[in-house]
Amino acid sequence: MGERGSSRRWTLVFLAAAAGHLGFVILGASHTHLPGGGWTGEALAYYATLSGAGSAYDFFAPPVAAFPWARFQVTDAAGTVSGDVLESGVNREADLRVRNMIGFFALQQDEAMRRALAASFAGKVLARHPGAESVVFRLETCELPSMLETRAGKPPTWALRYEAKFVPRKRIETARETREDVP
Amino acid sequence: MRTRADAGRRSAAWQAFTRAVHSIERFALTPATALPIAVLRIGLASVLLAQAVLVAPALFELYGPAGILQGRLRDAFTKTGLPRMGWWMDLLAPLGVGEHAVIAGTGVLYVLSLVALLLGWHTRAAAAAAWLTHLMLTVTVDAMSYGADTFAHIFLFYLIWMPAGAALSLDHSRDRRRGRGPAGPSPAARLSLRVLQLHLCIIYLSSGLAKASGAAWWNGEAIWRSLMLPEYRQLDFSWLSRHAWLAATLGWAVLVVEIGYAFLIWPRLTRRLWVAATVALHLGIAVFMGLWVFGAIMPVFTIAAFGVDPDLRSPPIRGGRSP
Repeated sequence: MGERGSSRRWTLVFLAAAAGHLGFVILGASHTHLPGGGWTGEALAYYATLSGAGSAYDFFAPPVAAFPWARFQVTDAAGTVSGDVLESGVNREADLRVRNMIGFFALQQDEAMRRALAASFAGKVLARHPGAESVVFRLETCELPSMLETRAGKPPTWALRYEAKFVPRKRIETARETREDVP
Repeated sequence: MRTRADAGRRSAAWQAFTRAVHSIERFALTPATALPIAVLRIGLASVLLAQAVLVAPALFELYGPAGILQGRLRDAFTKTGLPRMGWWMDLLAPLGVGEHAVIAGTGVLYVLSLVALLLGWHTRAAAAAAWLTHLMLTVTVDAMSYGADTFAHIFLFYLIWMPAGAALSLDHSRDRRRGRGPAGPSPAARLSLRVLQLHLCIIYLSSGLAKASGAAWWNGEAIWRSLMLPEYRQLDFSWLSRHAWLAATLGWAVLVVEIGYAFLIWPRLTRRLWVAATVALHLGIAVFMGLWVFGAIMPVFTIAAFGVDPDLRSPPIRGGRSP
């Protein structure tokens, strides 16, 4: 009898734990944060992150937002301009992750952080073009017309959201030494 | 002064309370087989292994110090306090172990734990290892993560605690060989299944309500954009602009499937329809939006939770009574 009672107690403990966990799930799904701080609040928030219970599920909601695209214009020593992208093209799943990083850039508000991220992206592209003189990073989003606008003949367009030019470090150093203008 | 009426009301309230408690116990703790949880384990491990194969060629591009997020910029966006590869890099650097080795080692450990999880070999440990390495990979470059990673994280965590190795597994076969007896129906399996089912209901209900809060899913524009934005476009659906009613109907269908999930997947009469509709929704996402991993992972959860009978009975013994 004692063993059965102990087993029942543990069963009810697990039931209560499951109910508590689902409570976290509801809070996360509804974007509700528990009030108060202290070590208890921090521990609960940590649990919600570790377990994923604090996640929200409003994917593609309410609208389906356009993803930003990163395009690079690479200029070589002869002045020829070619285009490049960050995505490696190895497969869609890998490229999707790259695109998520570009989307992450678009969410940044701090200008210094945006510049640092853009420089990182540009550095990656410059590494693929060793003889490049400069690279222009352009962040664009597709402005897809509505179904009504499409019927009226309006085509999709691209809106420029951010633009920055980067030069390889060694090019700057050379220009300083020779007192040339940096392209 | 207490009256007979008061005593009667308290007795009725107590009876209602005990009836409710017994109903909850029946709902959550009636012994069930671990078959649905095993299906979840096998399905999730399979999809994540396929995803790992796809991401592997770009591993250092995505996670390496000379990758897309270079140097310390990668660490700048890592959520502090959560397990990440940077911890191991700092710990092992004095021993001459470079960042590439840590990244590769984490990836290999992740894949091996998924294989063990798929086979149901030391299942709980495999689930813990898969969860931890998956967390480290996603936390290290959080900017890359998306919905499929969120759900993988949630359900790998569940597999640590659920009896996922109690059916369709090497662990189960080994226990039978050692005479430990078959892992029969258990309250733990039923409770695990209910948590899985209720969590999915919360997911779809909140997703559906979020979609319904804007106009785009009601007037078809969300369907139009899902099919035509260049980042998702797989086929030419420009003709859809001349049949806006079709886009609107599909938008309404998505809302009905997601919001209706929490209510209509429970009754036997509508369960199969809702399982089929949900699977179709996610297959549509995979085929028409190119989100293959996301489109593959979501049906696994619904099929495991609502498409597999947890109360399968053993067939009766010939000429005798059923066990």
